[in-house]
Amino acid sequence: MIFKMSTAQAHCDIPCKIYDPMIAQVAALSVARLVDLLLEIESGEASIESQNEFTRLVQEKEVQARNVKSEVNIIWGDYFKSPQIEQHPGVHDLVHSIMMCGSKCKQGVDKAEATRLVELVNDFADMFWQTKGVATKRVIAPYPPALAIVQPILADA
Amino acid sequence: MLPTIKAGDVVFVKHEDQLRTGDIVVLNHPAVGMVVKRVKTILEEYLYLIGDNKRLDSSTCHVPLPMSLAEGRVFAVYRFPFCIRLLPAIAD
Repeated sequence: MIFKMSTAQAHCDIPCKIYDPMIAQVAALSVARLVDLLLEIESGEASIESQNEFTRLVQEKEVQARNVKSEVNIIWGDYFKSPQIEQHPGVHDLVHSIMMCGSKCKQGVDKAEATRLVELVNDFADMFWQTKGVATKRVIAPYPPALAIVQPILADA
Repeated sequence: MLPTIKAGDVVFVKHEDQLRTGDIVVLNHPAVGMVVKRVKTILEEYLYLIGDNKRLDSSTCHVPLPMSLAEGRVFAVYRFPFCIRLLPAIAD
């Protein structure tokens, strides 16, 4: 019989199981808003101020689209396990569509793609809340671009 | 793995050819190294693990892990200074 000593860990890396797709939804709405602002810039205008604003908007669009992808990836990779995937076998395709659409929003300034990104993330949010047995509703975001978002119907405090 | 095992406990592991649902195992996870978890389900040659601490979760849980990664079953836990508990094998 051979004795061997080594260290094992319980590896609990997700305290309190806090996940919420709202972060991804706000990021997707931000992408849509930034696309609107970019489209509002006069194409012929080339002042220093205009170029500065343009650069900032593009940079922020890049950041927000990356946030969408990152937040969705975390929920998909860490929260969705066998029981949730069995309940929603389409989650992999949906997440892949979000990744592709997020990249398209980074590459271009397309209102239709930005709106589609919000819708896809809404679908993901709906799927997420269903796995928790929480009903959802669609409401209009109270800020530009006033797109529809999926929200959970939660108990009153 | 609270309340069954807490940080600093020494666990004694015995290699078992046949693991069972409910066993506590030490498994050499390819991403995070040695982990100690409870077997929730066994499907074919794959283990699905779970922690005893219901307030926490782990990326090592609920995903299929090859049974070949298991080092063995935890059969006893020693807690400093005087406590030792035997964990009998789960009966069929």
